[in-house]
Amino acid sequence: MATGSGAQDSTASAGRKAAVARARSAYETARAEHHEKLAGEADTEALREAHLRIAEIHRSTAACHQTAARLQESYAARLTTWSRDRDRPRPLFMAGVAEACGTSSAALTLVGSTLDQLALAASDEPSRAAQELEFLLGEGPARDATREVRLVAASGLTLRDRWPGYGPAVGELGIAEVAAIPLTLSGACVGALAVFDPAPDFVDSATFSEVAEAITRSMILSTDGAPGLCDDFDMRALVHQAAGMVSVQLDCSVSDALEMIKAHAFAEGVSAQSVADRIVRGLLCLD
Amino acid sequence: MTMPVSQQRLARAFVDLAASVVTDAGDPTGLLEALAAQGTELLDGCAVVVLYAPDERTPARVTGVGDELMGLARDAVAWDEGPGRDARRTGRAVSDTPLDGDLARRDWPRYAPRALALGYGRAAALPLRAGEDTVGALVLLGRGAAPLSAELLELGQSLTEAAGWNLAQDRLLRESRALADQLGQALTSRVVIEQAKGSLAARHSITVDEAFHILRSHARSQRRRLTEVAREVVERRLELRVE
Repeated sequence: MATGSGAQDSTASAGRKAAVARARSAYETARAEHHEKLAGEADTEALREAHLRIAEIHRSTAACHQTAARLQESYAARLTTWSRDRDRPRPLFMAGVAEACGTSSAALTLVGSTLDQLALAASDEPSRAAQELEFLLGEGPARDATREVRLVAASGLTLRDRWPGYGPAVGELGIAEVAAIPLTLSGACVGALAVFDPAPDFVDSATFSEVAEAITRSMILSTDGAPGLCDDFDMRALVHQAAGMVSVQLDCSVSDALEMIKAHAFAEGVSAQSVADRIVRGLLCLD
Repeated sequence: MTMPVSQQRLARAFVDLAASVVTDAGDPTGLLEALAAQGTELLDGCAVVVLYAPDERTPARVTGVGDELMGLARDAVAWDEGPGRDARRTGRAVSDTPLDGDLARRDWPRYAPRALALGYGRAAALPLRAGEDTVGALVLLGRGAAPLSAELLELGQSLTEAAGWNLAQDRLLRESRALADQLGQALTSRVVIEQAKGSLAARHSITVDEAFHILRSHARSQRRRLTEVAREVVERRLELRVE
């Protein structure tokens, strides 16, 4: 799918999104300044504080749009560089997100109302493998972050304590620390941003929540277009096709079929995608 | 130095209007009533009406205190005239206007005489803004011929700004919830369609691409949504014929 025009479209689209984010940031900054001015003119302390509080909300929204603009601009720049030298792999939007989090491994998970993983985007192989483990085992930081709607972090031994299946398995990938933050806006949670082996002190920094909010606000829940936040999203189409097939072959529900595919993949130590591929091609029959 | 009482009250009113949560998402009734009540209390010697008309689809609504006043406000909506309508339409304040003057009689031929008959001599209106959109107005009506003071209009402006900020926040909240729902539905729908492709392919020993064509043509010929058809196939409530 990485055709030449596709890359140009992506570059142009990232540029547009950056411009929209910059404009929104400017608007929010202007609103903040307006209320700061009113705060300065206020006759009473209560009024002054009310304006300052409102200004603060606008400032924080402006900062999110600013972060979003930077993420889109850096993505556009990477795409442009790449289009001159196609020998390298096409840059991923998520790689920029990971970089902003001081790591090379970051993953986004989108969930539906049942909090099942519906789509994922990962910056590199380790983060993809870690998300796959969460998908196969049904436990892990992104799942907890969306269910509890709060930041979840664990490292070392607490990884195993918290997630008896996921903890040791993610450790085998060479990952020592995981953290996930829910993607929420106005109480609506649409997924989680997970980082693996982030920079020291990053998890508790304002940057983590700012990046998460920027992604949610300006990219996922943005009014200017479809949820096409980036080209990296994987819907696991093949896995769901295979679940449909297995449900007929074994006369069970698709959700049971999906669980069987996951269990088979985990037992074999491969991805659900790889099991699904064999099922769809008629090379594997689950029983 | 002691603060004028009205400033203390304004501060409290402002905080109340800006910070009170619009309880039911999308239903600003409580906020409009609060704006009308705070306005009536703070804007001394002045009758206050809140006009709310966010878009063309939503019927305009008015909030205020007193039967006569509300009758006038409802008539103004029906006649599509008056200071509130003008402020709502232009997004600009209607400055203090004598209701027995030429301007009022010309622009508000039905409204002005009725307001005069009720004892109001002056009118002004301030736009109620949610973000960049004007969604209504705060109408001030003064008894007798004395002009509405600049301080009064400033007070009114402060109140409408606080209420407007609250409305804007509420709108953002509703928009993001709606978008989150849409996103969830779009993703779930994609999943169900893939499941149906697999299910159909297994049942009829065809490829998933062929299965998709069958799903799509069935949905088209029956004028039904692809997602619904797919869901019925997955739940085995629908058998599709394969040529």
